[in-house]
Amino acid sequence: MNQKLALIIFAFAFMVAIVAGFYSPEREAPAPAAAMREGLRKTREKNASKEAIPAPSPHSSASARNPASAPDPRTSEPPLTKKTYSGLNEEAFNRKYGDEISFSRDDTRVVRMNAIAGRSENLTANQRVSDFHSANASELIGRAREIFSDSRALLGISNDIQFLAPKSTPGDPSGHGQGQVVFQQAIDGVPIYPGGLVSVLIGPDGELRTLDSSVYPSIQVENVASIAVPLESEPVLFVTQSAPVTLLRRAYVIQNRGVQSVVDATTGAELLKLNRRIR
Amino acid sequence: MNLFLTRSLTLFLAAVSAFSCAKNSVTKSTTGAEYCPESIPASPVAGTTGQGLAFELDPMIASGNATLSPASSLIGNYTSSVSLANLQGYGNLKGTYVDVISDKCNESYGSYSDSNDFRYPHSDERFAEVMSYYHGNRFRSELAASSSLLPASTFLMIANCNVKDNAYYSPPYGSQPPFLCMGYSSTYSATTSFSDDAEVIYHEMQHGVTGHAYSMSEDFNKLNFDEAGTMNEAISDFVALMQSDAALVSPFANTDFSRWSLGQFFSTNSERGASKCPLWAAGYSGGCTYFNKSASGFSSLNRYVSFSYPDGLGWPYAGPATGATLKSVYQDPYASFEEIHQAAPVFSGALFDIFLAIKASSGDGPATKRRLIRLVVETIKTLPKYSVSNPSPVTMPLFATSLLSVASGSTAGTFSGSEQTAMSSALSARGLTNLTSIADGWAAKGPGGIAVQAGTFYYETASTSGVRNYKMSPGDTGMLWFDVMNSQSTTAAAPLLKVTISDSTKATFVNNLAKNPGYINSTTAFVRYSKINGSAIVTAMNTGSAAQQTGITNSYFGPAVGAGVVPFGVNQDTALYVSIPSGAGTGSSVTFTVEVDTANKTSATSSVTFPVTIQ
Repeated sequence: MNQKLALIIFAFAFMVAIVAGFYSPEREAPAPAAAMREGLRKTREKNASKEAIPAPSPHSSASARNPASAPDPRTSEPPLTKKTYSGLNEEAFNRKYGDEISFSRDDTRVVRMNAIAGRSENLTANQRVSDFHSANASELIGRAREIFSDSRALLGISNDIQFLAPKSTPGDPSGHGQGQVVFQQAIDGVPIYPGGLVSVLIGPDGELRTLDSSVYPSIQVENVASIAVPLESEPVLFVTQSAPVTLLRRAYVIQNRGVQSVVDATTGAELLKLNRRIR
Repeated sequence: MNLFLTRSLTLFLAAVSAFSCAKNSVTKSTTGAEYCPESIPASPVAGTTGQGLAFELDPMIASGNATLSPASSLIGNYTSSVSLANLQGYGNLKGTYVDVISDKCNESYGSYSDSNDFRYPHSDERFAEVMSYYHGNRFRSELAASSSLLPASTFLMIANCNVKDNAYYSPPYGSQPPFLCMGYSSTYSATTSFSDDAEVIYHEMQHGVTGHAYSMSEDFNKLNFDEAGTMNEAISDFVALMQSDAALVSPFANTDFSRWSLGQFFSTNSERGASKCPLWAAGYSGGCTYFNKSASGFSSLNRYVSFSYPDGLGWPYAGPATGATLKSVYQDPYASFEEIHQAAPVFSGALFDIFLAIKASSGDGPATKRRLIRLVVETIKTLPKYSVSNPSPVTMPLFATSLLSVASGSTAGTFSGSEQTAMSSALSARGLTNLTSIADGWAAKGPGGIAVQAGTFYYETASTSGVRNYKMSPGDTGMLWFDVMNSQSTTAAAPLLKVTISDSTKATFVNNLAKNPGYINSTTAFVRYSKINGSAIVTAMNTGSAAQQTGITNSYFGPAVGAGVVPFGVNQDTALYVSIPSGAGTGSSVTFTVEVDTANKTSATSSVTFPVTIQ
């Protein structure tokens, strides 16, 4: 999509969104609004330097059959400052991935989804992915992207929140094991640490087993990096306060023989020294 | 320049590398052979199988001598010829499953043989490298056979690691690989090391499996005394016990973990294990026949301790002299009741009970081991992760129910109905399932309040007056403990405290995850206590004479036992660090509200308030 078209869609969507008051928690958004949100999403996605919205898995057509969008649970913020969310609502999510999935919440956001482990025998055709291999990293990540995309609204992850390319631990080659995919929240390629993770556990038939989120929905960066980058270090956005607003400081992590040091990227001060050795 | 990081990264990224050793010259070992080679061939020079000498588990097992001392000059007599499999053929101890380097060679390869002949006597430093390779490869081969090889890439081990009286697993971060460090004994440095104890190798390696199974990006251990940390240790002990089970014959018990290094290297026996009661308590040699998860399994009069959940958590597995009173053990100021290694035997015991039951019914120990490794690994994957609302979400009962759930499906292989029943029975017998619920509203402020005694607000930095007066004064930073009391007969299991401060101008939590791992913001932080006793266990532990009664109470920070001794549980790991702003007015008040969640709550968390006056 070229930039002009994206801007037009963005402006149009923005106006309609104001008129509609974005989403209503009582009703499912009409299809045109969903399309506009998609336009917004794509615009922001294009503007994000890193991966934002995971693409659906090519192995499943279920998403096409369940295009329902989620209501925005936040009603306290003024409409003009509201963020946009995409994905399924709880009912649609259960319909697609299984009624047995339970949701644990932190305030209004889901922080954990838990399907009944070992339920493979009872999967419906809708819940499984045909010819799925959890040992295949690309298949695993594809399915995780689809699940993550469908769960963003439930998790309270607005479309502007960025993630690094996912990391995966495929299931074992026997084909029966579970594979895990982790999406790391980031800003412009720099990971937020600690936390800011969405971990998706997928069963051998592509079914969702568990999903955990420690994503920070509201973040604020407090400093700019100015010191020389320390040798053997990794840049991070270090969490100095988790909630209600997550405060982040640009920092560098150095780990030497299991002892981790987090150094402020502005002052050079040590923000944390943590012994991660496990005896 | 961080030499280690550079070296280890190089090791992992260069599958076939010819990198230079940092040493300037080749060292000759005791046998005169080349040691710490300056370069490794760019292409294979040897086959995938080599020869070496190693202990079958440890010198005691190898010798059959249960009283063999680490100081003995005879240790080297008990090595055996072993085959070293899965080598990559570069003449060093780099294999498909493990990659052994040494601190003796500046974090690089030590042993070298272009014929893969690594038969070094025990007196040679390279023996530790061979021992690490042999048992590391052996264990990871078992993981592969269990479809549980995590991490999948070859695993870095540092033999002769420059760390005293310890061995550890270092988790990965960013591009830095995980590794094992096998340290030395400061007492017996001339005669033995931690690499001589294969169970320690298995234990540390399992930490890597557990960590990878749980998350690539998040530590399993969370708060200082959380049950995930305890289970991490317990799972490592359990897997090590299974791995060594087949080699154990009388007089060695297959339930005792690390009889060589933990049992011998320290002034106090620090063995752990899977028995139903401690080595020093009544009935150990008779099979702990009194074992019971209820209060009947405990008695200060009869010296009964049952390793059951939650009341049996924290009692040392070994250490006290046989016949020691429970009072003397409990009131030992160095008893470390909540420490995660010490609290492990309940959980490792339950898992080992499952192993023994299925092994007995199937008649196949090795197969049972592999099936249970897979079951545990697949269960770990399903466990919940950190969230701001619950930074320490994994408890032993949660793991137990998850294990049964995974076992009922096909993810971890198939377990028959009778095998699932055996698992359920073992977990229930240890108290990990079918917990007795504790009634809502069980928590109250204990007699110590926020200050169990003078001294429980410990100043890390002195007040402006410079006097450690154990009062909260403007400008102070110190540690706080909340004495929560249980009014019910049932013990509160795995209490997770969410503490909120009413007024941030009067007090704030110290923003440092090393001090407050459960820090959320300046007025909210979490901390985990081990358990808060119900009246049933309190009664059982105060039977007999005054010399026998333990003094255990139903509030967490029980009274001090002896002059100058801090109350039970008061230490840095149970503390929340708090700062009093310099502008907090003397005479003003602030309230700490403590919401306590437990693993056996009926329906709701219990709340207790602790008002404090700034003085």
